[in-house]
Amino acid sequence: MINELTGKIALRNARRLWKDYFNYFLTLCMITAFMFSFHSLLFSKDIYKMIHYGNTGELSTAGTMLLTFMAISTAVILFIVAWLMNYMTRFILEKRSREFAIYLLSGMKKKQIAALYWKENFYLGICAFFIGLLLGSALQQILFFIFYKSIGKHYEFTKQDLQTILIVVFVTGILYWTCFFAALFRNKKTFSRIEIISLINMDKQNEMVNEKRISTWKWFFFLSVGNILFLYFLIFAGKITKLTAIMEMVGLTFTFYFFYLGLSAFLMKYIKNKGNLLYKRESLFLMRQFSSKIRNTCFVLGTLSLLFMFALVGSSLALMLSDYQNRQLDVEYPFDIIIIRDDIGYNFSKEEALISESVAIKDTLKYFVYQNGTSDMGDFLYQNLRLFSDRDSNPAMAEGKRAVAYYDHDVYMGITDYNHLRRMLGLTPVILPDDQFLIHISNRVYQEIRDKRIELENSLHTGLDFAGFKTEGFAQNGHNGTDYLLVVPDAELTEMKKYFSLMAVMAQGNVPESLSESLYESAGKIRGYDELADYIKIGSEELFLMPASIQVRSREVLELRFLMSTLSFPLFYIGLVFLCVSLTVLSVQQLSDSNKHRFRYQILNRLGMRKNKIRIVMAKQLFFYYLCPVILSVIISAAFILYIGRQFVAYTGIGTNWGFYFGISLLGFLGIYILYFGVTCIQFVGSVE
Amino acid sequence: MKEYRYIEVRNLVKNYESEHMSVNAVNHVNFYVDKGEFIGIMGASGSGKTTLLNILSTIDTMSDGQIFYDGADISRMNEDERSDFRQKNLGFVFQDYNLLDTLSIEENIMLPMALCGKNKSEIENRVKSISETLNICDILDKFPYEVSGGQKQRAACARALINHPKLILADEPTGALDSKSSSMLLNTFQIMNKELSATILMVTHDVFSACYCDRILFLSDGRICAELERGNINKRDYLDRILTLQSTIGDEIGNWR
Repeated sequence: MINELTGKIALRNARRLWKDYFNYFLTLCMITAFMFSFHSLLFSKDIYKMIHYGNTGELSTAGTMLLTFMAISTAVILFIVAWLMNYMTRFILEKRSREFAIYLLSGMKKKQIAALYWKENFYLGICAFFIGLLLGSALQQILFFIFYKSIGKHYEFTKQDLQTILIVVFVTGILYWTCFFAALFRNKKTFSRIEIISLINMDKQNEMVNEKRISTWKWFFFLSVGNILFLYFLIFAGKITKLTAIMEMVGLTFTFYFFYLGLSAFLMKYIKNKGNLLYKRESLFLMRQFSSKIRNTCFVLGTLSLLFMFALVGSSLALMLSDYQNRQLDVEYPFDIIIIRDDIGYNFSKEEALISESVAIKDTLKYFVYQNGTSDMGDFLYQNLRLFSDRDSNPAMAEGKRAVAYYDHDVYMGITDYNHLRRMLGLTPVILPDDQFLIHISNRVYQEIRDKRIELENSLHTGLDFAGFKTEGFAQNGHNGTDYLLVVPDAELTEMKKYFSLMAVMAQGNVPESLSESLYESAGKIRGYDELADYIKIGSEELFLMPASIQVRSREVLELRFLMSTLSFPLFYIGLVFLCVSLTVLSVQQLSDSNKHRFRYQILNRLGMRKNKIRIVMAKQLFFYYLCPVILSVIISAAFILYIGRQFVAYTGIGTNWGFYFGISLLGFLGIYILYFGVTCIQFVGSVE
Repeated sequence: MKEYRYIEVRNLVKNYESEHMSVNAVNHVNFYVDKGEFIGIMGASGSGKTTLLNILSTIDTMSDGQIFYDGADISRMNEDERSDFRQKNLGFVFQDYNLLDTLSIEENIMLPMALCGKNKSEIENRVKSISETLNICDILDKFPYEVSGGQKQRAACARALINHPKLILADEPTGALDSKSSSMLLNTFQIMNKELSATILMVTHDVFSACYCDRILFLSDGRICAELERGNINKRDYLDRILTLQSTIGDEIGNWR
């Protein structure tokens, strides 16, 4: 009987309290939707195929990356969601403490009330879960469309996807309910310890204004601001080293968690010193409200700023990666097909036949690259590139990196073959006098060494004059050299040894991606699997390039786009969830205090403040509170993105417009932010009035 | 020629209408308050005294009638005008103090002046002089939850006085205080009335509090059923008269609170 009663009360409460629970409910729905849609990526059949090697069933590098990133994202998100659920259930408990006290006074047992509360939350959770799944399946379609689009494919819903959905619902359910039950279990324990009197007094407690030690705490504000300025100085002055990076990590953790304490103390000190601003109409009221609120919630605000920062950095980084992906592909893979063999007697007839079966060939060149036993250029790069900067401190490591990056000898090519390849790519052929040589170098490396041209010229002993650099995309990840290729007059080749034989092909129309697997099969290899230990070197490229002796552009582009997406999608995922969690906490923080606010605004009204003016003051109060964690996180995230943007240029040679991508992320971020702010503002004004 | 009154209430009516019934909370009430007067309103629970106070405070509207404050008819004002009027002309002292818990005592006192846009030095001088008069200088830096009920109520009085209001409205100001704090507060009211020339209208059910008033209106079923003026009689006799009148009305009406 009593169970039936508590069940009824719980259901009625959940219905009655929907306004209080609305934002939380909305967030639970959204989190379920995000979990469902992002995890469905992992279980899609197409993606399964993409992340496994041929028929071996073994995970590819991209697959390992995707699974690793998704696992990390899921773990982080689980932690945050569990924190949110725990925070919310505790918050609602405080808000409804009086009601629970009355139940206790009426003779209900703690166990029964805990069960009642548990049931209410369960109803709420289960509704949010199913609505979230519905939202999630719509979001999943959008996400798949974007994912397929980002890897250059077309997405169509198939019956097979239905089976996948069931698995994903199961996985999402496990993750979601684990968090949920953990939070409820914690609250059940809290219930068992709590006394009636503390429940009665819980919502009556004054908002204490803690002015202790404000003279000390205020310095935390200056220290935090100083630390942020120092971070910008380090970035602009290029002084980020291991030591300064560690210092800044510690400094930023301090900043996130002590900035608000400092800011609150700073404001309180200002109020105590009777600053002029206090006497400007409602400023006193707003400053007091604001300083006392941030003093009491400084830890929560710190955590929220941190989450905001991850959301902003994550999404900006994701956008920068997709920009890199789009711009870099043409540079890395200029030829439709290019194959290298270390067997100089090889004539590529088998490959040529296979290619002809799949696609009409526009132009083919079979050619050699040469070596003369020297490695001057390789040595020079080893001495000058940032990648090998640890050659003195950790020579074994640096040598290891060099062995992966460069062939033992410098790679040469004759001008005739070089110009033929240029024509194939639609580039103007070059005229090279008999006594000159040129260096075709990847733009990224060129940017790093262009100031050392004289030193480079002096270190090369070719017996020829240096004609200059060429930097167009030229398949220099192992095929036409690694990073660099020395182009010499054909006559010079007579003195040299053939190093590798190559074949480059330009096709008419699209080359099927499966051609890559067929070519590997005919060579008796598995794509991307055997080559890690093979002869091919890839140069000093550090971002997402895998050795591939047989490069079919369409296949490599798919792989690279997939790799990029495996990074950017989890980043978006984390960003979205963090943002929603943070905004929920912010809005709930304000809404839960609506009783106190109602009382305060009633006083202002009695003191003669007009209703419209009161609404403006309420909006200001909310705005400052909402703005506070955002400003800190925007300033710090901008520093990170600025630094990452600069590193991007260093690593890829491609200038990225970090400000643009940060701006886009910020706009998207502000869109969701304004939505939450608007909803909270309306609810807040409604609950106070 | 009609006699000029500082505050005049004419034929004031407040009806609460619902589908099934209509209640006259205030029923054709007429009275006046002279400048510098300390007037009390007494009545049983449900007699309409709080409704009357709310209408006088401009935080509730009347169904009919007129109220003039120094010649200005508040019944014709819209909500915004009433807010402005309240800001400039009225001061409030409530039973539960109504101080803002996030503001110090000093800030609570100065808030109405700051909201009016007064300048810093004017605000500081005014806060200083009122605090000295009401003897609360030593608690100015404290927060409401750090001081006693009596001190809170004196701070509320200082806040009510700060803008030189035409009328101070006090709603059961001693309701939450012990007897010692009550008499201290009532002395404060007398200081406000005599030394600072404040006009005070106090709603109370407490006979001891009422005997500090110059004149008392007795309210019953929304009507003024009696009026008592202190004149030159001493406090003890005044108290006896109030009690006698109260019991007479009580016999007629029923229970007093």
